Amino acid sequence: MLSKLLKYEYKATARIFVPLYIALLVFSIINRFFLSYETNNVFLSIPLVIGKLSYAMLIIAIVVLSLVIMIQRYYKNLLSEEGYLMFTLPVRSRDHIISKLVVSFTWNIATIVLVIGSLMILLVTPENLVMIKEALTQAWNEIQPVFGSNVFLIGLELAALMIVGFICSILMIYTAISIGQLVTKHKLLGSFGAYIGLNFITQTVSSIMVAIAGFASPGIFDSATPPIWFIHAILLGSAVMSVVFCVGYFIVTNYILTRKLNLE
Amino acid sequence: MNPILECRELVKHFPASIALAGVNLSLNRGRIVGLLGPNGSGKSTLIKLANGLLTPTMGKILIDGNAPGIESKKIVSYLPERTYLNDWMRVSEMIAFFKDFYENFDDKKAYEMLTRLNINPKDKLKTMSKGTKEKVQLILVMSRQADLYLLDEPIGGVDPAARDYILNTIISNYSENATMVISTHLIADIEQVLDDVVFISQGQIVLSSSVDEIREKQGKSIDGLFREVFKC
Repeated sequence: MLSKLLKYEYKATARIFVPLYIALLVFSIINRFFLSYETNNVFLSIPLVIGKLSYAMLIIAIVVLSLVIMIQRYYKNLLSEEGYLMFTLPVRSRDHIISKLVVSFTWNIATIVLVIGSLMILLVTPENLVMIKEALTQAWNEIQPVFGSNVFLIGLELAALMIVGFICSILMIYTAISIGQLVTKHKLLGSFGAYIGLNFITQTVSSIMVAIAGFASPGIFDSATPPIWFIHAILLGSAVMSVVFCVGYFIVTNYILTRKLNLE
Repeated sequence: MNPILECRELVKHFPASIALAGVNLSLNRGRIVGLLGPNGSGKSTLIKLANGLLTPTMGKILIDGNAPGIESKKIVSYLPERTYLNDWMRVSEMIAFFKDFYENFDDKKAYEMLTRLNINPKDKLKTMSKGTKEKVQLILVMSRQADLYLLDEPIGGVDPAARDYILNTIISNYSENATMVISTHLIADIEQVLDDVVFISQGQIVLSSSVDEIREKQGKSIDGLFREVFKC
């Protein structure tokens, strides 16, 4: 059933994202030509300005919409009128959560890739390419001596941490909205309150863990660069903690949708 | 064999009100049951509890012996009192959706009924009138071979001609072992199709009986009895 839910969730969201992505690519290409065209003529410069403005607005719109649609699909499709349909399907609540999560995650990643891609379309010229390559080489030359042979492993850990952290933040939003629907009269206010509360708990626990790690390894911050094992420990420790939070949010959300569902 | 729907001391509180105050009810298979009561008597709450859209405050509700869950959702076909369809879909896409998720959905039947009611499957739900949407919903719900149909105000928003067709569809589609619960206050319109009636008032069952029994013992129509019981 999960695959069917995923299919419909992609269908429901693709009709919004795909046209926006196409528009973004088209505007990148148009602006690419505009950038290479310079003029002092006021009338000719009007479309150039409009083109640039539209491009900037489009990027902002896509980034904002990625977040808005994540929230809207969860709330509207599950906890408002459409929930009458979704929760009478013979499907487990957890599959609803997973399908929403996976689809939101994909679109957010796609947005990041598309925005970077569009900037490349806009800006990459042979000269710029040389500049970018130089900057990357310089960065590499600075990072490599510090981490030595660990550089790939640390990069991998950092990527894992980012992905888990991102999933965690989506699940936190779902949990907050689900807690909000327990508050019968002020659902929106309840969701906001729950979000602030969850954020506070997450931050507090994280800070305590970091403090404990600091106390447990005295003298670690004395040198300019902490030992490699400590960096590994911090990255892995944070990733593990994020996973624990993810699981916690998931369990709470699933519990509310299964045992405490109260659709108006 | 378990009754298809059973409530034991079922209680549902809302922050400001008590919607159900200890309901005991048992519905048998193969019956068309009218769930009748004035507005706000707890009809919709009872039906929503049976679908797992609400959770009971106390007591139990069982569908074929199981609490609402995946197994019950496979055999219950529910028509809510509001429109719940995904606005952006076409009717044909909605049919595909139902076919995907419900094994007992018969898409051929759905298309037949659409043709009969002059609804174009290619139309988007967004562009439809409220009445047409309600017809589409009813068609989707009735195209399933379910064991229990829970229809919340199925004829409230549609015109009398369509109402007749819908009632006919309901009667002719329902198989021998299926039970159909129809909640409404338009009693006169559905009286002739009912086998049993359940009167509900202020969250309590005030009467649960077969229609024949009422006619024999009281010598009244259901409509007449309703007016008497719920006299304002």
